[in-house]
Amino acid sequence: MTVASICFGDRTERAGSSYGGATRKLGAGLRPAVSVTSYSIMKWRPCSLRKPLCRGSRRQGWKTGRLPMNDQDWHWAPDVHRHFQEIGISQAAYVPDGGLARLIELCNADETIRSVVLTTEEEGVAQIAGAWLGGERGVFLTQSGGVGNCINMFSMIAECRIPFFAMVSMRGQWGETIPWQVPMGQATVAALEAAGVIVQTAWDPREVPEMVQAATRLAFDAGRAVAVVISQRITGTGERG
Amino acid sequence: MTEYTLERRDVVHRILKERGDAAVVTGIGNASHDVASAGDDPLNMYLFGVMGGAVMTAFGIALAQPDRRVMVITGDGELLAGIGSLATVGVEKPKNLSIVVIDNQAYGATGGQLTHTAAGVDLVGIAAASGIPRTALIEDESVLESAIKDIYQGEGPYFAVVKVVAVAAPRVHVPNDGTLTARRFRQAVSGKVG
Repeated sequence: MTVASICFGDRTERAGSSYGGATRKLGAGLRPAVSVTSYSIMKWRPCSLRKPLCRGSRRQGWKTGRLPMNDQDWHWAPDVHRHFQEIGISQAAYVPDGGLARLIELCNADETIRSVVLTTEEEGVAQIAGAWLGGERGVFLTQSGGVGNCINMFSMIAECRIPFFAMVSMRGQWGETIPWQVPMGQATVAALEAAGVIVQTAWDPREVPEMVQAATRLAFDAGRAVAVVISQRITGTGERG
Repeated sequence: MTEYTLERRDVVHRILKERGDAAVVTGIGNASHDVASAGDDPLNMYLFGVMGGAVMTAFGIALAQPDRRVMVITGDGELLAGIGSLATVGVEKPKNLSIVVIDNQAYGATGGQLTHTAAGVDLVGIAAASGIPRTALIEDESVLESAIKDIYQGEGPYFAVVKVVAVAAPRVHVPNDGTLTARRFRQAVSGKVG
């Protein structure tokens, strides 16, 4: 029996294929960067080796985005925020979002990052383009539904080849209960890719810090538009409407 | 409809004459031609798409370059497409951002169809109600002359609508390779290359 079948019941097939894919990718060469992230490489284990959980902690983990095993206090956001500091992120543009709430709070509390609340997500694409034009680095934080609002604005990123880094928290993807969230959620990755944005999806919270490090290098060093998609499997935000 | 007398190109040239080292972002449409016709400049970032994105692009630049005046020159149609930007600017209040809207009350680039300002939508009122502290409605030359100082000096954000005649000005060559103009602009404002 796989862990997926224990944790997610009737989602066995999907969990096994998606999660297994992510695990294989990591096992193929990438390792968590111990110097930056707070967890030890020794704690990393492929999904298939994880211990089953008791029902209570499993459900809590699934809802809060925390690790569904040990280290119940660990969350990916502080590591990502620390990385933002290390690479000199000075602007963060966002529309408030539950899945990214903890990262947003950390950015808001950080005096070295100017956090800007937007009326609609495409404002953020233009602002972050402006940040680079002005010689700084920014990040764009959005829920998947907001990606649809950004499509035309992405043409500036593509035409001007502006280094662009986004984090997208998913709705309508994994365990969603609100039907209206599903159409845009299912179109999010396709829309990003159609607009020329490279998409890297995290299915496990442990993947997130390393994935953000790699994606920001791709964005700011290789000069590309990159989005790290935080799966709804991680955020678990499917019940609040 | 009120008859206006100011001509858009004269207005833009007059404003740019005093620009000094100000960075300029132009919105899609005639505004880009108005600015380029005054002479190309590395400190100009011409937008040829992203309708509704000029204010927020300039906003990001203004945050990154707090010691430099950053000015948006755009049209009423382009601003209406990103009208929420005024609320964001009103909340964040970047001190070095000035927004100048050349309002011909029409979509000049697509055949002159009327915009909402022709039906009375008050952009200055929206900007003021959004929390932008200094605003101006410019309908004649004397007001334009007195507004120029406010565009470049004093604490921003500043917002002005210049009402102009709805007559198209000649098209000029505008550098439209975004990859080139973006890097040229970034180097000019920040000294950074690559």
